[in-house]
Amino acid sequence: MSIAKAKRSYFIIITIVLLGISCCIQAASISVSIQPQTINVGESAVLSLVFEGGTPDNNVQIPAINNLDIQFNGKSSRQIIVNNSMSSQYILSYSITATKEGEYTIPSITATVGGQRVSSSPIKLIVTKVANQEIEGFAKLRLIVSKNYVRVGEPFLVELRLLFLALNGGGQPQISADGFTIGKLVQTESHTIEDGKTWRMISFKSYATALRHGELTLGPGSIKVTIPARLQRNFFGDTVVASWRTVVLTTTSYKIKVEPLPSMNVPAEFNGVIGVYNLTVNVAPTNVAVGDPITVKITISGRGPIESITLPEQPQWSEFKVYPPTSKVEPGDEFGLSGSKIFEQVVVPKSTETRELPPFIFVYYDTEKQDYQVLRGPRVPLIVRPSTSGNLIFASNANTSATTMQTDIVHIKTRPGAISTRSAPLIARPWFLAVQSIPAALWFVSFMRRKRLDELAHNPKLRRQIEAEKTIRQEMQKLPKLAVEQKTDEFFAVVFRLLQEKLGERLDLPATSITEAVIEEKLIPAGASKGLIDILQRLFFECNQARYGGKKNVTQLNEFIPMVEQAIQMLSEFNAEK
Amino acid sequence: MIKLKLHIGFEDCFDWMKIAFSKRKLLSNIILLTILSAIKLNAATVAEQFEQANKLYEMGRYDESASVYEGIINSGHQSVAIYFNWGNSLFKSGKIGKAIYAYLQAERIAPRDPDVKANLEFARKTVSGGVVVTKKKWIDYLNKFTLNEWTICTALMLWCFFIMLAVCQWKTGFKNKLQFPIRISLILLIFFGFGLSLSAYNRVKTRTAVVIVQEGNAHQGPFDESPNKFPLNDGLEFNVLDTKGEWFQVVDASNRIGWVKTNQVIILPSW
Repeated sequence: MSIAKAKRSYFIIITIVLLGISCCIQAASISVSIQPQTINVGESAVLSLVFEGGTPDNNVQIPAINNLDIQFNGKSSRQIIVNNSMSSQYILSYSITATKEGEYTIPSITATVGGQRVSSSPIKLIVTKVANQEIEGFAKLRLIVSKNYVRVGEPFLVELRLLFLALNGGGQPQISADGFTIGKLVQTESHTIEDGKTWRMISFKSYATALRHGELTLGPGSIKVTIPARLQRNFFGDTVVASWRTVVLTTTSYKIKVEPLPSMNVPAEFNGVIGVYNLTVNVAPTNVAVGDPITVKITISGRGPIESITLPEQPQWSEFKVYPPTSKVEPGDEFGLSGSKIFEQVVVPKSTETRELPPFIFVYYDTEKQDYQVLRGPRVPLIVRPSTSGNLIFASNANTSATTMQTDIVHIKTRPGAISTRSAPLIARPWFLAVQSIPAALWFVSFMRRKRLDELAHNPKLRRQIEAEKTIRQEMQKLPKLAVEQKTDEFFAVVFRLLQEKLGERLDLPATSITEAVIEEKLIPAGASKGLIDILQRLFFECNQARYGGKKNVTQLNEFIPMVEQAIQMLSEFNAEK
Repeated sequence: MIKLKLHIGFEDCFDWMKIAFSKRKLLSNIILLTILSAIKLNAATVAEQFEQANKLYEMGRYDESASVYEGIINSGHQSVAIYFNWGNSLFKSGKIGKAIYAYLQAERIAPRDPDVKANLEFARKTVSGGVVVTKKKWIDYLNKFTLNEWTICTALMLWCFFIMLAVCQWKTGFKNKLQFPIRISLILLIFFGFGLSLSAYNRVKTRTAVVIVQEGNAHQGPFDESPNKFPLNDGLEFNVLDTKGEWFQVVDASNRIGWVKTNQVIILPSW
C-alpha cells in the first residue's frame, strides 16, 4: 500500500466520522411565540416556548410582568421530519391574561438544554382598550334628542339607544330632565352594524316637553346593565364569558334652549295649542228649524300634542246655543304627537234671522314657521225656518215621532194603568223555574212508557207473564165468593183455569193444552220439588172429582184457597228452564 | 162601585164570593174576602194618590207631584204611568237625571211605549245638546221586549216542544204529523232562549248609573284628591265598571272612564 493511498483512506474515514458526529450532535435552541399578539383587556393569549435539540434541564422561569397574569398551561413534544432529516421539539405553553391596556414586552427567557444555555428573543404583546362603553361590557348607551331649540310646551322626541354585543339583563333607563316632562318610554328592539360588528339595539323612545324657558339640560341618560367581566378562550379557541358584572352606562347630556311663546300679536282665540296643524270643518244639516241641532264636525290633524287639543270658544257663534263638544282621537303615532282629533260640536240656531254659521277659528303656534297661525273653517250658509208652534204633544205613535220635531215632553198619563207590586222577574222566581220542569217530566214519563211498551212488544214471554198474573189476580178474587155460594163446580173450574194459566206461562205452553199429564211429562223432568208435585196432583185430583159431582161445603172449599195460593206461589218460584 | 183595573177584576171577586159562600167554607172565605178587600182598598189608595199627583202636576206644582208619585213607588207599587208621570214631574222640576231614571224604569215595564221612548229621548237630548245616545243595535232589538216577555215566550215554546214530543211518545201515529211543528217550536225555543239569555245577561251585567247632581266631576281615581277626568252633567248615563267604597268606576258612551261618588249617581236596579 502506497503512502498516498493510505492518506486518502484516512481522509475518507475522518470525513465519515465527522459527518456522523455532526448528525448526532445537534445544536440546542429556543424560540418563543405568542398568539394572538394583540388582545383586549380581559382576554387571554397563549405564549409558547419551543425547545429544539433537547429538553430544558430545569423549570423554565417566566419573569413576572405587571398587569399580566401568566399561568402555565402544560407541556408537549413533537417530531418533525424535513428532507429525511428528523428533529424533535419540546413545547411549554402559558396563558397570559391582560388586566390593563398597554404594550408589554416579554423579556428574553433563558433555559439550560443539555448543558447548553439558550435564550429566547424578547416578544411583544399589545393589549388594547376599546371605546369606554364597549370595554365596559360590549355595550354602548346613547341619548338622541331631536331638537336643541324648542318653545315652552313644544314636545320633541328623545331616544335612548342601548347597543350591546353581550348583555345579561338590565334595569329601567333613566333620563335626567329637570324642567321637562318626559312621556312614557316606548321600547323597540332591532340590530345595527357599527365598526364592522352587528350590535343588538334596544331603543327607548319618548317625548319631552319643556315646562319653563331658559337653557335647560336634558340628560344624562343612564341604565344599569349586566355585562361580561372577564372573557376566556375555551378548548376550541372560542371566546366565552367567564364572569359577569353590573355597571351603569351613562350618556352625555344636552343643552336645550327653551324660549317662551311670543307675547306679541297673540290672537284672541289662541288657547295654547302648539304644533303644525290642518283644519277641516263639515256642517250638517244646513236647512233647519229654530231649535234644531246642527252638527259641526271639526277635524284637526297634524303634528303636535294632538290629544290635549281643546276647542277654543267661538264668540262669533253668539247667535247659536253651543253645546259641549264630543271628541275622539285618531293617533298617528305611538306617542300621540301626530294624528287627528275629531270634534262634534252641536249648535242650535236661536232665531230665523240667522243666515249663516260664521267660520270656525282655530289658532295655534306653528313650531316650523315660529309664528301664530290662524285657521278658518268655511262660512256656511244656513236656512233657518221657524219652529213648529207651541208645545208639541207627541201622538202615541212611534212613526210620527221620527218625523216630527219634539219641543217638549209628552204630557202625563191620566190613568194609572195596570198596577203591580214590584217583584223579581219570572226568570228569577224559583217556582216559575220549577214549573218549567213539568213538560220535560211529562215527556220523560211518556218516553219511559213507550220504551216499556216496545220492550213488551219484543218480548212475548214477558207479555204473557204479565197477562197471566193479571188473569190469576182476577180469578183468585172469585174463589172466596164461589166458596161461600158453595158452587163447587165453578169453584174447581176456576182453580183449573188458574193452574192452566200459571203452568202454561211457566212451561211456555198454551193454557188450553195443560192437563194433569204435564206433571209427569214436564214438571218432574224439569226438577220440580216434591211439595209442588204433591200439591198440584192434589188440586188436579180435586178438580177431576168435582167434575163427577162431588159437592163440598163452604169450609172445605175455603180450605182449598190457601192451597191454590201456595201452588201459584210455588209455581212462580219454579224455573222450568233450569 | 169603583171599577178597578187590576189583574183581579171586581166582578171576578163577586163571583168568587158567591161560590165561596155557597160551599160554606167560612174560614177560608173570610180569609179570601180579607185579602180581596185589602187589594181593593190598596188599589183605591194608589189610584187616589195617582189622581192627586196628576192634579198637582197640572197645577204646575211639579216638586210636590213628584213626591206623591215617588211615594206610590216607595210603597211597592209600579206601573208604566206612575214611572212616566214621575219622570215628567222630575223633568219639569229640572231634575233631568232622576227623570231619565224614571223613564228608564218605565221603559223596562213597557219598552214599546212610544210616549216613554219619546220623553226619554227628549230628556237625553236635553242633556247632550241634541246628540242622541245610541246603544248597540242588538241591545236595542233585545230591549224591544221586557225580560218577562222573553221568559214567557221561551217557556211557551218549551211547553209546546215537550208536550208535542210527549204526544209523539204516547201516540206513535202523531209522529209524522207533528214532525214539522216540533222543528218549528225547537227553532223558536232556541231563538227565544237565546234572547232571554242575552236579555238576562245584559240586565245583570250592565249596571246603568245616571248622574243626578247638577254639576260635578269624574275623577281619575277613587279619591277626592284625584285629578278631575271629565265634567258630570245632570242626566249623563254611564255603565258601572267597578265599585270601591263610596266610589263607582264608570264609562260613558264615548268610552271615557272615570270615578264618581255614589251620591252623584243613581243606579238602575237589575230587576
